[in-house]
Amino acid sequence: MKLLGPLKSMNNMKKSNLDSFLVGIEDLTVNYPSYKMIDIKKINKVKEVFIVLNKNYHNHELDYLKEALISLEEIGIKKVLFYDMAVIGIVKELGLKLELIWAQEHFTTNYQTINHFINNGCSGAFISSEITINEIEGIIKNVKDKTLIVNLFGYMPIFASERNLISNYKKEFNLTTNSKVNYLKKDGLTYPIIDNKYGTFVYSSYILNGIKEYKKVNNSYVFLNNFLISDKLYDEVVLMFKSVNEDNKDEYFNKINNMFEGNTKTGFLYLETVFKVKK
Amino acid sequence: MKKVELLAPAGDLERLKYAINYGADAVYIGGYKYGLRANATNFSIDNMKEAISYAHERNRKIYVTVNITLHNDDLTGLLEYLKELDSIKVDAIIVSDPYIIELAHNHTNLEIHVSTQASTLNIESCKYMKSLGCSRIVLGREARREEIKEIIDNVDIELETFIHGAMCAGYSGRCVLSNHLTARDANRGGCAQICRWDFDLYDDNKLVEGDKPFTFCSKDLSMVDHIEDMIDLGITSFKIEGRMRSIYYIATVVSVYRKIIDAHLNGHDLNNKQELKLILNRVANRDSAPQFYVGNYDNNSQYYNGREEVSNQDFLGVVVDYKNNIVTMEQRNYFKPADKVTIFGPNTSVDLVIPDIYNIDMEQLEVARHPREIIKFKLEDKVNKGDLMRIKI
Repeated sequence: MKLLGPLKSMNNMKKSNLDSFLVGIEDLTVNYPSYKMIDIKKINKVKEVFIVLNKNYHNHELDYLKEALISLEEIGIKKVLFYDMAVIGIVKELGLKLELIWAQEHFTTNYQTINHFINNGCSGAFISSEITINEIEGIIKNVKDKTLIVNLFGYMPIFASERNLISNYKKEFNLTTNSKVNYLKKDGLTYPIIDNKYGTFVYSSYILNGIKEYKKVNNSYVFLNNFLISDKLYDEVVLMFKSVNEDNKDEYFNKINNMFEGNTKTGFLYLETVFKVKK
Repeated sequence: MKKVELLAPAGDLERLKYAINYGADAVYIGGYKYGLRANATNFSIDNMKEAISYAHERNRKIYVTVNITLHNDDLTGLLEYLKELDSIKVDAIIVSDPYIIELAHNHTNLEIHVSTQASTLNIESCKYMKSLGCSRIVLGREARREEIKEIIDNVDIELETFIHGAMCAGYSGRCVLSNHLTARDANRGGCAQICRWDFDLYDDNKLVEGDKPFTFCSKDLSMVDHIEDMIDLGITSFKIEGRMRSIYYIATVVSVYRKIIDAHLNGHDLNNKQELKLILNRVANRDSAPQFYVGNYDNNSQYYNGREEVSNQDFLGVVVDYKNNIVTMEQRNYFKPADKVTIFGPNTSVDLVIPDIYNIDMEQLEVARHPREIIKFKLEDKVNKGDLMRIKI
């Protein structure tokens, strides 16, 4: 099991216990910290880098996207997570030697579609957080020897819009806010929400805690999201994932839950969603 | 000028026939499996055969949505289903999952349209989807006019855009609010429309409170003021949202856009466009806007009235028979003698004042107050079975 997490800052990257960093590029990435190409080159010398290109692109962004993909190859980046099909199209057209990882958040829910992308030149997938551990195991079993990323910790992105929903609300009713992160409350649950130049993004009301399932995803990259998590607590979580075993997994599970004052859940790991509610 | 397509939704056979009769060139429907409206009535294979037969006899087309996000368990039976759709001569499938595209392309003769669920917005994405064997792309709702033009100029592929109906608040497919708040899977047809719920918005632990609560909800889409421009731009197909909508909604929206499209294609000016717009505005009883096409997605495109909207009572009844100057009507909403109404249909447009009305036993009534009650009244102008009656707008 290798541990992958977003790089919050370049200051302490050498001390990180993560195996690999998830790194965004300014104006091509949403939800994760972004860096300039010159910095990405430096980060890549410290640890393995997974670039995340997960914005929905418009035509006017395509030239910049092409330039960025060419630069990534030039500076020796190997792995690139992508959302928009423009990325796979451009990489193929330009013949770039980048290992593309299909990362369409909520769409990566079965092994055959992942294999479709592998057959089309990709090297793996970032598996959806909205499926059960049994489904994840089914994917791992049927997608062999490829890069699979499984999310087991942190707040999860659950909504993305090009609209600036908080700005719109404030404008409509002549209101002000000061924080970069606001919160939506409903039925006793609190959802972080961000409104920025890329649109509006909402996150789960709880922190995913899937440490008990470490063994089932042992040959994959495990993603640990640090969004809204303090560096101190995040480092502790990373160390627990580094040393988790069958003897301590329950203890670590409870410890993580206590660290975040009970605001952790196992997400959809054991919860099947439904979609037909009428007979 | 090339022919353009008016594409309507239908949740069942009755609505499909209304869509076709009122002027749709093509209708999109869902089967019992693999579609994103799991809670609509939907179509069995036998229903689909009847729909296809009805449509093809009238030189229209039927598209079937196969646009869920597949889970491992959904893979079983998928290829057989696609082959079945092919064998009954479905004109195209609407798909977002690339594995379904691959299967359909390699094992069937089905035409493949990329669903709006894929949020395709740019030239390179369109080129890539074309390379997989897709013949048409239903663009993401975030596409602006100039972007659509650029795609048309650079990629030889048919484009379809939504012109009317409800909008997702987020990028299609990138919203799993429903999964997280209700455990209903939005990307497999279970969307619980969380975007229409009210939320409390907090900043630094303080409630940020306007006159209305925070909501994700946007106004509906209406391209009634831009449809002519969209035709001139070169868009192939114009899609109306709403497989769960009523026959009245489908008939009204289809017939209004049909009139506008035909007038433009034939070079005629419509002298009643304001009236048509008013009819459209009333049919959903929600505010609408052209939104991303014209680059407007600010607060004026948001809808803050939550679920306050109520169904209006415009739709009064369905003509079930017309003989010897007597209309037989199945009631849908309250009406009474002296009300001003319109009976409209594919070949009908009659304004009238309701005369004396009678029940099925020819007993005179003061009002028609019971849903589905059979009502009769005299009318000189000929109307047809299946025509609809609404209040005069």
